Amino acid sequence: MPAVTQVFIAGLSLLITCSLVPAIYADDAQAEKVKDNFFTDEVFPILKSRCLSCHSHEAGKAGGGLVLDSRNGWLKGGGSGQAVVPGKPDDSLLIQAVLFDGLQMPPGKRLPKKEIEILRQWVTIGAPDPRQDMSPKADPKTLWALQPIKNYAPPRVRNKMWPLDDLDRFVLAKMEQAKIEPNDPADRYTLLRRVTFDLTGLPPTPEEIQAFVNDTADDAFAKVVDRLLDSEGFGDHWARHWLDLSCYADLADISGNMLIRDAWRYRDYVIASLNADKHFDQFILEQLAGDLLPYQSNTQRREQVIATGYLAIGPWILSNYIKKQLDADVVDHQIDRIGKTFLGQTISCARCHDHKFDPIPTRDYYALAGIFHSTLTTSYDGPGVWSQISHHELPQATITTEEKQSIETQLADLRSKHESHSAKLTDLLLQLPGATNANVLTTKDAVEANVRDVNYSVSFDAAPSVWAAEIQATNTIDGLRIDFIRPDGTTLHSIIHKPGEWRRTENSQTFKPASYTYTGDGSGPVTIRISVSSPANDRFGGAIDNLSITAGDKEVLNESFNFVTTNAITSKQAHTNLSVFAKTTLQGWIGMGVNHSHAVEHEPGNLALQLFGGTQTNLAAAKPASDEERGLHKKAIEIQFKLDAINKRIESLEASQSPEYALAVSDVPTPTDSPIYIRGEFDSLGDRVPRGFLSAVSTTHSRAIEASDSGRLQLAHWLVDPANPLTSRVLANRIWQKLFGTGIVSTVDYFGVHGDTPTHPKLLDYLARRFSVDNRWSLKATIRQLVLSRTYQTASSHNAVSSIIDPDNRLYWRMPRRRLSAESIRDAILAISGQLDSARGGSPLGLELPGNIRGLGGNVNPPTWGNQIADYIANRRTIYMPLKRERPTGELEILTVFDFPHPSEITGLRPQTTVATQALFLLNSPFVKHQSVMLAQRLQKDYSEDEQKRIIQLYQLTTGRPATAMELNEAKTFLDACSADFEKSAGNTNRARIMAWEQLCHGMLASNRFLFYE
Amino acid sequence: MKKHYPCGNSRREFVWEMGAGFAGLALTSLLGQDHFFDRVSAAAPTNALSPRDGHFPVKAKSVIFLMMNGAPSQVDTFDYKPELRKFAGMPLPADKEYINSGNRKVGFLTPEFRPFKPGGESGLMISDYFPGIRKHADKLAIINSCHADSHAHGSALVGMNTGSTFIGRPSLGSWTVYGLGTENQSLPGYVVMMDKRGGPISGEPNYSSGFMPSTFQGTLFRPVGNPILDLKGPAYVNAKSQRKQLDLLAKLNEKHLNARPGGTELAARIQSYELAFRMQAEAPEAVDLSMETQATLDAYGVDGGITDEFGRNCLIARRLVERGVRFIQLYSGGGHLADTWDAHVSIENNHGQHAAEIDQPIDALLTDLDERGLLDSTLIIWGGEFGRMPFSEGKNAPGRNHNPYGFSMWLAGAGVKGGQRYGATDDFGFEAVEDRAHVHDIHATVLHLMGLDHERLTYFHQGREESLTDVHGRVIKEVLA
Repeated sequence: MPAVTQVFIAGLSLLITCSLVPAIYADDAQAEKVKDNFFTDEVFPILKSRCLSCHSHEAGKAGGGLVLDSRNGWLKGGGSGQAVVPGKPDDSLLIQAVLFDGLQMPPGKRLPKKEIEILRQWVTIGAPDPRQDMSPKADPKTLWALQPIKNYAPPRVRNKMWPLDDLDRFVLAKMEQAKIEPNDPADRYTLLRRVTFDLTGLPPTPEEIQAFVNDTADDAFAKVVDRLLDSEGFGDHWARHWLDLSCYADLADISGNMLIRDAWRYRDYVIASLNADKHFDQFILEQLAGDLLPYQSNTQRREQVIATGYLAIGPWILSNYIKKQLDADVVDHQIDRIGKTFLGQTISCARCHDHKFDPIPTRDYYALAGIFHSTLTTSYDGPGVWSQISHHELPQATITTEEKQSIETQLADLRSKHESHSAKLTDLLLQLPGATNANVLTTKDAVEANVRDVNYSVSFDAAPSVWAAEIQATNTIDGLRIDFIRPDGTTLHSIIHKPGEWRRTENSQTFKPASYTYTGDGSGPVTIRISVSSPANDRFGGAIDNLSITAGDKEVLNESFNFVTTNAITSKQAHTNLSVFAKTTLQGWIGMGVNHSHAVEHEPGNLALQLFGGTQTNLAAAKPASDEERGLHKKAIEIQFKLDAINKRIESLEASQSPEYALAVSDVPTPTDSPIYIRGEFDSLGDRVPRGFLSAVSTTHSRAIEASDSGRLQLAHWLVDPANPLTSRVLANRIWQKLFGTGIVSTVDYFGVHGDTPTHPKLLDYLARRFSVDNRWSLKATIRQLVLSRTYQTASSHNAVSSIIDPDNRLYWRMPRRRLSAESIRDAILAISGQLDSARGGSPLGLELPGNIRGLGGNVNPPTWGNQIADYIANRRTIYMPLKRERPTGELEILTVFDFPHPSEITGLRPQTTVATQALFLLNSPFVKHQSVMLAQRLQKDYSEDEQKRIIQLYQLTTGRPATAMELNEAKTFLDACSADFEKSAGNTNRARIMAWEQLCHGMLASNRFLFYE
Repeated sequence: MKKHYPCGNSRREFVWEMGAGFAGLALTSLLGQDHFFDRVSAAAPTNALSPRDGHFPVKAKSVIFLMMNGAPSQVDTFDYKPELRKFAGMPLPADKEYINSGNRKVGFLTPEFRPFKPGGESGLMISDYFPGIRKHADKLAIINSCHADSHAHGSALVGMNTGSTFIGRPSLGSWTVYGLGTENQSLPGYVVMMDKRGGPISGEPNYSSGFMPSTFQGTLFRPVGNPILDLKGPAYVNAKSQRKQLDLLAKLNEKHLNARPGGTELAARIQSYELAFRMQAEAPEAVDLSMETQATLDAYGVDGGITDEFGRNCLIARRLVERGVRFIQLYSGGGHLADTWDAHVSIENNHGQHAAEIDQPIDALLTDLDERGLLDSTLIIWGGEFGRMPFSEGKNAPGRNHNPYGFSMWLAGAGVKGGQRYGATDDFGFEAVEDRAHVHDIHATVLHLMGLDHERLTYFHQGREESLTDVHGRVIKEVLA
């Protein structure tokens, strides 16, 4: 939106110039629009605040028979006749009435003079009133956006040399009509910087600059465009445009920080799809209904399921305790997103009543709502208030049988090593009191369960964990260990029970029975010891209940774990809200470990024993008292390290095998139509509306939604139906806007009655057709044509004549000068300083960092993210940064400062502000300062001997062109003056020069030369 | 013409907001020495934050919103319920429906933990938790009939701040500065000061500008040192070297602009640097309490004790009001549970502590503003995101659970008719029954007091005229002076 300042100036002087409007605007449509704006801005507020409460359909009043809520209303007039005679204020009853000349309106309260003057002026200029089309509602037959797309031939132009592409003829024809000359072509430096930022969000490198300016071939620019379209940077940049529209974030819920793990797969899917130039109709089908599409391979299936993250990820208030409200809000947002993104329609307005202006009845809203209510997006399985975003296990990417076997062999080997090391460690820990956090419980008295040759059966109930928080659930290595110890301290038998990995598929509180056997050897009663199988892990090994040992029919032990020695409930568990008795003892047992006898009331009155692993920290902090203990301690630490290494290998091997999940939607088991929610309230239901689409939008044929279908697939097909005029127009306009700054329809998300009308309606149709028909929805082909046009390649320079005729550049006589987007500023600074990390993809959350998963104990909320950005993520492109569901802060403050959209908003067009905090950021932030130092170092390293070359390079990097002789001199003068100053404080000439260089680099990064591209 | 309808009924204004920049400022900067700005300013756009008239003239110029994060109990603070004593130990009647937030234990009706006493000439009954505020009873319009849409802290707080429990909408402060701009261009127009124990659990959405440009976003102010992020560079950059760098920057930008006639966007950005320099000087001064007298510091309780933090914030709020900041929000309580007013465990322990932290500072703030003649132009709002239950959490338990069905807030200062109670809860203090005041009604009233019509203060966003109160809201005329 580069021309805004001029728009505003034009607006300020509107009253003075409006009578001149026809002369300075290029065509009548433009003039009409300005007049309509005058009505909307100046006149309508007066009517609304002063008149409509007694003279409108909405108020239900027509005082004196007059309504003023439409052009027809005042034309028809009331009992006294026509209320307004366009062009004739003195003959208009309305004017007479506000002047208290005869009639007195508003009754008893004269309007301020200024308002009367506005009304007079309005009538004088012909009483423009765009509301004629909106009362009561636009007719689909007349709303431009709903008309079929026509196949217009490119118009004839006088300057036949100018057009490079047919689209230029549409643009030029308008300019010729308005007697405007387009600007000359931009120079090569400018053009390369423009296209590189537009296509990849990054600046051109000095090598790319030199290559292009020296390439004399006719297709030099086309080669550049192809190179950029083929680069991965294209997807990194254009995917962000799409994510702006799809409310993407890596975390969830209202706190902005609730942990969800798999959102990034959708982000990576978008990037990969755009880089692969997946045709947009397919792209849309996958995102709306990928789970319903046929597939040839697991890889394709994965991709299609992940794609539905488009619907699954959003600003859901998962903690909303009224789940019907949550569902209704989710559905509303999905409808809103699809309406705005693809159709340019505010369908959500019809949630409570028929759309006020656009032809969208409430029934249409609920026809769509039925589709999304039949789609599972969030689910609630309690307890607590939190819902979950629906997620689906992904089919494994295909691996060969040999690979699979090899992994399994390795795992078996590692697991057996793990077991023996764990046993050793547990033994050592028992001899080192205070060295462990681990729960270890031993029976006070030995149990008569060791008669020679008697077979004992050990049975118990085990659960993976009664904690729902994932980190505290067990994985495959974790489990319970039960040792049967002879009077002499040796072990008769050990049971290692691993409940198996708990992922989101299994209820962590479900106890399952398990049984084992052993045979007695007659060496005397055994002491029973319960511990975790993996004492090195900082996790729960699981929960155990109802331990019983029998010999034939005879029960020798029956432990319910229900009796604790103190009754103090020390806390409530996260999520489950179950009572926990920690730091107590169980009757009949001796415990050790900081939290020993961690008993949990998993059912009212029924406790279970929960086992927690030890920690490395504790072992490291232990202070062995004697030489013997020191020896044991050393040994324990050695084993601990070995175990740690084994664990890591097991985890990474398992990760390659373990199920992966995506946030994704699916159909509910029984799809149903939605009733109308009267006034939008879910507890006030009206008729059911069959699932379907917008009634005002054409399709080639109707697509029946079977009872068993949600209708998402049909909806997706309908969006890309060749007869639907909206999707291709809206998307073509979006692509155009990203490249040319302003849309042909400037309200890119809204093509309704109150939206802007196209400045070039024929061009828009031409582009929409070309995109959807000729290019078969190929984004890259479409972008290629647009940037190879003459229009795209013009200079951005000012032209005194053109800017008087068309100050807003709505005829595209120049390319706009644009500020870099938030992420381009960050990415470009990193690229220039040489610090940009080219690594791409994967989870941005760095969950392996200690403390990066928070809120696991003591409160009722699910885990949150700990805000640490891992080193391996920190210098990547912005799209790979973790996004909370709020405006970015901390290390990513730069995004908020430079107008990055709120992740909960559907944003087709970002605002572009100029505020002091941006200046403060560029001047003072640690980020810019640090990168300036890095940039100075980079230049020093590359051209250590030649300061002149360094300056040239600095200019190339930051502005896209080498420094001129004058700029060279200026920079040198600055460096000399600056280092002379610094020499006093730095006391060292070299250091002073380096500091001066850092200042110069910082200055360039904060300057308009860097910040704008043109 | 613009002045009369500052609030965007138009596409054009929508477009304007997107590019709004700073300009029209006094050209006092160091960079102005060569009259550089004189040359560019004529072409620069009008500032989105420049002060402008509301829909109708009012006395109020500034708002201080004292946000009691965690939800204070109404029957223990400003909703005097002598009837509740009769019912002590009895359950809430079964026909009273409510959601038991968090499945907490449900106990029995419990009267106030500290006695109420009349204050001022009006004799408004105010609890002993607030003896200081009680002195100002005649200034307060207590609204006893508030009700809200959520019983969960996070979403209710977002609701209290933005009118919707759904995140992503502009907050009350954003709407206010959007409607009125702000008087002092060297300071943010909308300042938020958190409790140092933490922010509200629902975070940024509470002071977000939502779909409006971030120009209208609340700026977090830190009470000591440099109140705004990035206000000062790293320590090793001294003033002189920054001066050099700024001169360089000015030269770079000026040459760049000179080669680009008509580059108003470039000129606006150059001017934003000028403002940044001024902010560097003025913002630290605004939080610098060293110029305040010892008597003032004592009055606010800035003494290193329990009142120190909130007292400091209240005093800074007064200084910000003096400097023309439009909207200031101070949080009492931050983070979770006991660090907020969330008195599940014990009203006496929790409210005893939090009330002691804020009572003297608020007393001092009201007195100080009054003495300086600023209370006539400053609107004070006090309240939490909802209230608390009149019954205990369990038998003989001294805490209370969440209650969005009825709670109290109060207004004071510019345009407010003090010394009155408006609306009422039932005999139990459980739900608002008389003259019910929804959050939307509070918002409509606050906007009205600021000279803004909540139905006309709209922002054109993606085809819809959005407003703070959506299609709801009613100005509570009874509290207007």
